[in-house]
Amino acid sequence: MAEIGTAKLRLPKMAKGKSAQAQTIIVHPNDSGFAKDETGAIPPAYFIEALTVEFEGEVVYAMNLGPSLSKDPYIEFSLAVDKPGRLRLTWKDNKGAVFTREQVVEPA
Amino acid sequence: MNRREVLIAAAALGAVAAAPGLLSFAHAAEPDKVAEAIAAVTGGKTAQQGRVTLTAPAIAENGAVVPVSVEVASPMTEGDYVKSITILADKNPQPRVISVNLTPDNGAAYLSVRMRLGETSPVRAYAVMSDGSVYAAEKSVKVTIGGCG
Repeated sequence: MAEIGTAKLRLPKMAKGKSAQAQTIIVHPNDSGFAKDETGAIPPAYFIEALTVEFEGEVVYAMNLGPSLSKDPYIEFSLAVDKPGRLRLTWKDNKGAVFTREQVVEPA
Repeated sequence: MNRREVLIAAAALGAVAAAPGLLSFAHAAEPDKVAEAIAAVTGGKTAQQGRVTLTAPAIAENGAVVPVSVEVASPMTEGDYVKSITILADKNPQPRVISVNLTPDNGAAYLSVRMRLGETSPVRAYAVMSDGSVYAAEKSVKVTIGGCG
């Protein structure tokens, strides 16, 4: 079982200045507070509410997430960079926990 | 009663009869919650059709994981880009699924997520452009097994 706070980030082969689609899966129960679990109980809302994507310190995406996203939220977004640099994902859940994940992007 | 009055009366009865049916969806969003969510995105502007392509299955067997993609036709330049994309699901207790602020640097206006649908519902995508205009697309997704347990 992967741990809460980790994320998978898959970056495609990037060409300078060309857009490509990045995929991320954030490990989180993302309980909506409305759905029953296996035992029939309804766990309280526990979900990711914000995700920012920065490239070299500059915000390229600011996302507001609702409890309707599936467990282990999957988000695919377009990215275009014209130089190598660090891509940083920062996300926050409704209990205030903040997590980050960084990866180097090297466009050809 | 003439024919016209009978028809009006019948319509009124129908509306009353339908109301308890609506109320039985105890945890579904109320219509004004949807209207509120839409107004929060559009700022009261009327959304135009076109430019937004919403891809979602017509029938989702598992409401817990419904893939939805939104693509907006835009040059994504400093002068003309998509400022935000929002996905709403009318019948979910919280209609707003996700909203994303974009920048011209994103290269393309594209977003794909996997969402929950508690029951069969219209799914809407809204795009707000840099000039303030709003475009929208809608698709009804039939849910076989709801994502609300």
